[in-house]
Amino acid sequence: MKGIIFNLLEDVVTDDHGVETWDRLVELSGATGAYTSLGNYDDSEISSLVDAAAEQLHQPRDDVLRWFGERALSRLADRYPQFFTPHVRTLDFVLTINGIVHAEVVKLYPDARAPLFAFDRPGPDSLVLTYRSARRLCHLAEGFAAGAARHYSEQVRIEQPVCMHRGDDECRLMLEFGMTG
Amino acid sequence: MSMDLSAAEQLAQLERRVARERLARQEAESIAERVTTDLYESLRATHRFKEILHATPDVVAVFQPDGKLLDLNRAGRAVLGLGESDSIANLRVDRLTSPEHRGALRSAMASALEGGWDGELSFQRHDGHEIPVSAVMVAHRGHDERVEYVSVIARDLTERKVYEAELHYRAFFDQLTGLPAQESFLRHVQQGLARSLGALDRLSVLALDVADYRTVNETLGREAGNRLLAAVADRLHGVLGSAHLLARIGAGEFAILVEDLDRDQTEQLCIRLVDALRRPFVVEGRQLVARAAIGVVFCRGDRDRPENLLRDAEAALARAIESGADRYEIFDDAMRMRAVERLEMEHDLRRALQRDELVLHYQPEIDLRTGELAGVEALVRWNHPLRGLIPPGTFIGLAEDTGLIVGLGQWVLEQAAAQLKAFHDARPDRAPMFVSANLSPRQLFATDLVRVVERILEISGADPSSLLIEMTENVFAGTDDRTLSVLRNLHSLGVKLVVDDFGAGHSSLRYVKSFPIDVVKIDRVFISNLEHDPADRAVVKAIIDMVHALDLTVVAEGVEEAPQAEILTEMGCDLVQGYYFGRPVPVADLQL
Repeated sequence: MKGIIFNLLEDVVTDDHGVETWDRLVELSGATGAYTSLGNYDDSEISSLVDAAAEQLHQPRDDVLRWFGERALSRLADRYPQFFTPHVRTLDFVLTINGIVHAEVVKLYPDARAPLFAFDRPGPDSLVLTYRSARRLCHLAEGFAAGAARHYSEQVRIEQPVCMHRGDDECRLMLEFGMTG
Repeated sequence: MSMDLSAAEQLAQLERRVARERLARQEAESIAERVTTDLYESLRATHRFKEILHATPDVVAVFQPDGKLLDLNRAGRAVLGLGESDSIANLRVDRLTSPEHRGALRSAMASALEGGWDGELSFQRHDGHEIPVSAVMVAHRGHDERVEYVSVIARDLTERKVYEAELHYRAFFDQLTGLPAQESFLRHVQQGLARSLGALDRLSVLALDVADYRTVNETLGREAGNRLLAAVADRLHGVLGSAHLLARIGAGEFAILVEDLDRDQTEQLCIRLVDALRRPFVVEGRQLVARAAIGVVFCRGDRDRPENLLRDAEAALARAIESGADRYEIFDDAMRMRAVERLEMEHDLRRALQRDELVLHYQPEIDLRTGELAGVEALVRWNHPLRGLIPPGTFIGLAEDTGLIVGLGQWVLEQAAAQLKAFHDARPDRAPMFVSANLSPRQLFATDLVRVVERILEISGADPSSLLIEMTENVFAGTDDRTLSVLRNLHSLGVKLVVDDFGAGHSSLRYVKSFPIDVVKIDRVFISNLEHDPADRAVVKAIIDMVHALDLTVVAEGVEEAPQAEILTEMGCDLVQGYYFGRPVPVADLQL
């Protein structure tokens, strides 16, 4: 896992729960806690940190990942506005993840292993993302999607009728968009 | 106390935080260093590649799938008339071609997007000049398998096209005279045959040789020879007009397709052609003659092939040349018979070697001092299954012409060496006799003769000093170092070298002195009348004395009468050979 994800986690934990909480998560998880955005760290470290956060914040693990994704996305939008400004709605932005966003990620982090999503559009305001990854971070993807909707001031309903955590081969994120009032 | 502890905990917490940050910073720095180094190397590699791409004479262009140019090397810029620093930002790849060739480019691009394409295209230079190119186009895909860009590498084929056109021209037209060449002539004959259906007897093919062309070439130089030939072509053209086609098919050889003339008219034409060349030519201020010989063949039916007509015209030409210049000969059935017979004999001779139809006969050579058999000359005979025994005079010339002599000559040497060994084994207690075998000039250079003879000696186990190799004078007449070197190497194997037919040709005392020669054979023409002609006696005596003065052995050939033998004995001749002492016979009939 790239260090930037660890940095984002540290940022959102520190923002919402204070620097002491991050200190505790590092100590509880046994992680090194020293991350630089360009570095590569073992996937198990992010997993241990999320587990520690779930325990510390008394929340289910999946919710921690959703919260992390949603909060991280606004930070990403601040840092990389060029990916967001060409679009006015979430759906169009999401569709650029493979070809543009992850292509740029590879430029910055040539050894990054970004996931490849398959897209399906059952209706004008709905999108199905199929996700297959050994990391099984579908809930983080849900959080990112929710964060993106928030960025574009849209409502989104997210469901996962198919999920690797429930024994399926892949995860299928169904996104249903609607304008906020 | 608890405050102190809490402060201590806080301090420890801060220290751990600082340690983490320091660790992260150090790692970031080391990554940054590595990335910077990698980037530098990668830039250098890219730069090298870019330099190569810019330096290549091939056009290299990189463009988006929509055709927008991303990169164009120096050669590509030259096509568009752009300098190194000119922007290509708003140019499309199809600018490389003229509007009428854009369809081809687009379909190449469509194929490239589906995998790859290679083939020929036409580029257009900024000055409007078309450039044929051989190109390879490849689509390059990105992270998500979509085509990111397309590259094309194109090689200028202009030179190759010009070269191909020139080759084509050369195959069909003679450079010097601008006349059609052989290939083109044969096509015209084919068309003539098609045109003349119903009147094929009025079509003929002439082969014309300019007898003096080679002499002029050799004496006045190629330039003069070429001018003479161009002038000859002009004059022939003057006689033929546009009614008959003139072509140049060889160095000094022309071919003419004559249409719509009967036999008499064709012969009249031949006379006019010969006459036209009789008048002297003036080349470089000199008066030159270029006498002609012509061979004629009349078409014999619609099955006549152009190649056969030309071949027969050349056969008639060969006959005309034999009879002397200023002549024409018409190909007839007798010539055809001779040609066919020759072909058949060549075919048979080729098989004769494989079918053991050749045999060696041996003619005794007698030592005049002792009257004993000193050795034999091996002479090849052809035991033809249908024609019986054929003497060498009938087939050696053919073997020489066709190159078969090389294999035949080697066979003779092998047999002679084996026989030599057999002689020695059969009479170990008597003075060793020699076997003499003939070698053709063509053998001398055809293969690695020295190695061949060395192997023959090895395999046979024959004593080299008893194997004599006979060559006619013309071999020794060659003054080149190569001849001398081959002869010396041959001699160093221990075999003896014999000059055959001495006195018949360009006898030179120089070669007798300077070449590694052991034996001189006096030609039979000086022997046949020896007892009657004092001049012959003088010549023979002089040769014998000269050969002895050089410490060589002398043999007289063609001794047929007792008085000849007596005279030669008196003169001190070493060895004799001829019907008086024995005809060539199979080995079993030799009186050993």
